[in-house]
Amino acid sequence: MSAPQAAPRRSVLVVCRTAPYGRSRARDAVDVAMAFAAFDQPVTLLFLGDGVLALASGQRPAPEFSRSLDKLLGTLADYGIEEVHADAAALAARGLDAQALALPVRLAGPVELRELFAAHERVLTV
Amino acid sequence: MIFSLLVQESAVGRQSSHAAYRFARELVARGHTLYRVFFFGDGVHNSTALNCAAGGEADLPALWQQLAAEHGVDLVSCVSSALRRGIIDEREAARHALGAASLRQGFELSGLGQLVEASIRSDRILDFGG
Repeated sequence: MSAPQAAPRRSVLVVCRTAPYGRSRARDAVDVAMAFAAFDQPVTLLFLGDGVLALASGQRPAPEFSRSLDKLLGTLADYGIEEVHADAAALAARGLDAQALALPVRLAGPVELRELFAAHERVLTV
Repeated sequence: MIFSLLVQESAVGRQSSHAAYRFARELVARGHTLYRVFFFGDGVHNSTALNCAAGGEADLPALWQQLAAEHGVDLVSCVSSALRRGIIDEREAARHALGAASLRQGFELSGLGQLVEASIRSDRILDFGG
């Protein structure tokens, strides 16, 4: 369970493209991102497609089904995950703008998306 | 080159774990090192000891086990994914007073830290079923 001391830091892009609650994928992606951050790896979270729905504020899932994802996402900064990006076109297509989101998110257009994938040493879609 | 894989879907009813296995075989056949396969979410079903493959279908849990035995590949199933899905090793079976263990020999249960460590130690990490 231990990463070696003074392990090399490899930047990781964790991608989520699955809507929350119908599957546990969005929650799993956050767990993976938090694990990388816990071992001092630089992590960026990116939401694509239906995945952007995880970012909407005011989520009220049935309590027996799942913890509210927007509250969990609100704690990302406490875990050292500063960078959360979302596909701007995917948000717009679903009627969401920056004001409708539960946390500060950087909106990425096609150019920024390409740069995100190129800039990270690891890309994991969860 | 050193590789690790992240496997996220069930061994049955989905194709992606089969693709991961074939990729793994091809890696070692070409002289690369496969350091670890990390099974996450439904991917932990790849590590069951209690499956019976239908005739003519690939028995993926057995194939992973064989690959690990031949090439010393670390097969790790995420413990929190596994416990929820009834993939239980002897230790967890005793700890939670469950009647039986179901983790296949050659696999171990551990945390997401093993995925992080695989990412750090490997030149490449690929996800299947993401």
